[in-house]
Amino acid sequence: MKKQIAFQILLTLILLFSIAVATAMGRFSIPLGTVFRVLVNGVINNELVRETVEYRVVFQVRLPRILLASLVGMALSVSGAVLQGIFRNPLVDPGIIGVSFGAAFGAVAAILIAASSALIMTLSFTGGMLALFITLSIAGKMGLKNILSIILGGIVTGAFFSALISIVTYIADPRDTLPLIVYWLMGSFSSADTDKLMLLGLICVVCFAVIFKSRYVINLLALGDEEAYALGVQVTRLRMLFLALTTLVTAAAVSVSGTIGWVGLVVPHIARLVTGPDYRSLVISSALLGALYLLLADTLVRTTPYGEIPIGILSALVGAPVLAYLLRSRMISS
Amino acid sequence: MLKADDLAYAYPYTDTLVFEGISFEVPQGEVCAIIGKNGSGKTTLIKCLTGIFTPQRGHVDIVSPIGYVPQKVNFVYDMTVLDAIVMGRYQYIGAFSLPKKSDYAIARACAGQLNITELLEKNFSKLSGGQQQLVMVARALAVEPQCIIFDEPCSALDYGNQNHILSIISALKEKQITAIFSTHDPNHALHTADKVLIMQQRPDYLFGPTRVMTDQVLTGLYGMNLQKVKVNDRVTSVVALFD
Repeated sequence: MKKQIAFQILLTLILLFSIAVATAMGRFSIPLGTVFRVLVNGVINNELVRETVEYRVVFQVRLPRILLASLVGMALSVSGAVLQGIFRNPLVDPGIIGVSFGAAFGAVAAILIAASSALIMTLSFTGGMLALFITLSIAGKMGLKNILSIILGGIVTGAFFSALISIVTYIADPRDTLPLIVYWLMGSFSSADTDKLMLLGLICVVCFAVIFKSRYVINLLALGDEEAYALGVQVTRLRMLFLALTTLVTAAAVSVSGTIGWVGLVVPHIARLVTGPDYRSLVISSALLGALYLLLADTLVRTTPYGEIPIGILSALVGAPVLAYLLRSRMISS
Repeated sequence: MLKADDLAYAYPYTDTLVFEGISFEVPQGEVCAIIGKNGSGKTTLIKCLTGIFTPQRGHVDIVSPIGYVPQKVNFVYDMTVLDAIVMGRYQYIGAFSLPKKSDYAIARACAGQLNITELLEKNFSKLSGGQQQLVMVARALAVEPQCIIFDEPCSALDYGNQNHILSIISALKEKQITAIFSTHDPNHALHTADKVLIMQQRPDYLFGPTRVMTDQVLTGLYGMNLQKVKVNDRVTSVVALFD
């Protein structure tokens, strides 16, 4: 247990340091020392610093984006880790219950009608919640008692919403809305601002607090329904709680950043390697590593000299081989 | 104390009852064995007794808390033996808290009772079948139960380990813990149990002290010749006469 805590402290320090370094990086380069000075002065609300260019770059441009990327990484990774536990399946990610597709459809539909950024977020969020509702309706009465029927419902819902997304891209104006939609579907933090950060932050704080408090019981849910029930776990009620929490954070993350795959699947596996499969530490290390993963990826795509590439592409480019490597080495070791 | 009253169960979306009209009562601190052919509904009955399944008809009166030792365990994610045992404390921990030092102390004590202290830090899935079964018993003890329900606790074990598990079940009597176990071997019932529930053809069930397992009943139950034989004029053993 002590080893896990040491790892978590180390990861936290690395994350904080990476945030500072990432803030220094970009087209307008700011020395790391200046970044620290601006950060400290900004936090203690020093009036003099507010007028400088550095202050504006750090607090209005870079920090919202960096923190948003970190928070989305946390949200997707924690959701993935929790879902892998309650579905007893290490290959599950937030896409499996159809939520990401529902949220993506909400967003592209909003882009199609040239909605404001606030409406895009609202519709995206609504789409995600609607997808969970449809998944659970398909799973029906058996649903909450039967893992497989939820996964089936999720796959069907996901497929349905991705068909709807195809319709939207098909009818979208190729000179105008189509590029926006395609770009959004590949995920990006380029439109990050304080409002988005606040919205996601608020939802994450509440949901993470509940997940953090109840993280031990995920170990028991991962035993399987019957065993968990025999140990006194209220399986149905708790699974519903975790589904609702992960849907909330996933839909919120997708609504501010677009669809970014692989994070929710790969990061929990890396976290298992670092601090072990016990959810008491896995939830925390997944959050930290998820933040680090998307922060590094976003810094890379943001600072690449050939213009910004969508982060969803990089995430998949890195995530797929990493997962293949992890699964292969695990299969060999067992 | 455990009392089952007119239990009937059918799996969801099916009309066929697995069993019906099962009634029996086991006083506190006694051991009851459940025997029956494959498919007679032993495991289903066990799950009704633990509350995992809700019977269509009838009800179960059972003094809680109860410990449950499943037939097979399959952990998707690795965990140590100590962490597996401490899960038995869940009813005292609750959904929004973590196991405390006292829970770990009880888990260690339960492992001590079964002489498996040296396994505590090992990875559960790397243990042998017999060791895993002992860990599951330790987890059931960590519940501080009034009753422990075992689903075929000996089915995957060699003779030595069968004997070990059965002696642990017998020892529960001293602690006034009721024990229910299912088995394929009438000898287990004969040596360990006070009472036996024989799940014959539905709805024909036999419940009583172990002496109700006559040669005739056993032969009828399994459809082959079984005889009780006295060994050294002392121990009675059931012998199966294969064709």
